[in-house]
Amino acid sequence: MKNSAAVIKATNEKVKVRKQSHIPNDLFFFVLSKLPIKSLKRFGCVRKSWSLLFDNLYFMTMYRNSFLTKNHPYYDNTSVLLHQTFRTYLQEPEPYQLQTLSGERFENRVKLDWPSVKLDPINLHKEEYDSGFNIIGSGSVHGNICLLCASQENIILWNPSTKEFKLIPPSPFDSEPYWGVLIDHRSFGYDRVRDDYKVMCHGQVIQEYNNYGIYEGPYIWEIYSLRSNSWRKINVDVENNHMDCEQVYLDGLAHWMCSHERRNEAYLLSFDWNNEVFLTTPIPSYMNYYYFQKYSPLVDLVLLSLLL
Amino acid sequence: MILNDIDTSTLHISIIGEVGAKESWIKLFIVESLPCLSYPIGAGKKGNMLFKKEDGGLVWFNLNTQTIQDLGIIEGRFYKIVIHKESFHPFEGANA
Repeated sequence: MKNSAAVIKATNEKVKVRKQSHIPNDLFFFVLSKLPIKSLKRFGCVRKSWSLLFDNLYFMTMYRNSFLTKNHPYYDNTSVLLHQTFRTYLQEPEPYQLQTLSGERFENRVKLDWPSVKLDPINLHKEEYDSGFNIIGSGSVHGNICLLCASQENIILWNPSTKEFKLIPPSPFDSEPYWGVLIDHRSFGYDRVRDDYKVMCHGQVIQEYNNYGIYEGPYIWEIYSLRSNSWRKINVDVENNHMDCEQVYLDGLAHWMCSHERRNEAYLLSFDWNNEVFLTTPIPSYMNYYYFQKYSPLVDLVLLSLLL
Repeated sequence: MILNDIDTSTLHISIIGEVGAKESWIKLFIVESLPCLSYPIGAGKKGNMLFKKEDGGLVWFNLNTQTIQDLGIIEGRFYKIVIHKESFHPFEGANA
């Protein structure tokens, strides 16, 4: 008799606890809307209704709002720069210009001075340097921007805040008299384990036979390390890809949208600068490869918000 | 990731959850009927995206408020938005 009373009491306690833990959906949604997608996907296994959150219009409106308005510390002391390319005469590299956009509505524009390094004059007949630089990627990496000269030969690391810059030495694989590397892809990132900035290039080795033609050699990946101030080849397990959009860098990873024509595949290709390995993420399932190909010039990758 | 569907002038913006994971994308924004906007250039801060207009001008489009802020015509052929976070650390400091 005593035992059963204890059982009843315990059951009542449970009911009480359960009642107290009943939190209205609104509050749940509010809390969940502050979380990154990665966590939300994981929490889908907690409750059936949570696994359907992304289909819930009310929740998604809340999530969108939270996604775009959250004040992330990353955005402290950030400025928005506009990089412009101008057309000059045919056969000549195009000049570049960089402006800061500031103000409540980014309406104020101020031209930034490029680092005062005289390389690659835009017009070989002109002595003054006026070509400016192309920029690798769509953001600075810890305050440093990777610049590429108009002639596409020299790479410069530049901190616009301190005006410090560093001209990267040419790759030894590209300095042989009859050898060269036809670079088709460049990227820039930071290895936080070694506290090192790195530049990576992908290209095809080309050899010229004395006026007999060109031998098209293998594709190589090479990496420059600022710490060692030198280039080395890396062996990575990734096939020759078509990377047709701007690099987005975030937290030690660089990302590109990629398509692999032979395998009829498209994916997000990411490079881990610490471990020097590639990662792939399949494109969304609502977008098959042919759909992706159709729109591939119109697919872009941007850093829209950080919800971490 | 932004997909610009020119057939329907619709922009599909999907967000990645976890790198390397399957089914990692969530379509977060569908921006419909933007006939005067030609193509997206890049993202600024707080949901502002820079677009090139068909008449050649540049505009900020805010995903949150769905409003447009005209920047007028800015000379250039290609444009790119670069987000720069200030840092005063010498990048070769670690080398010394």
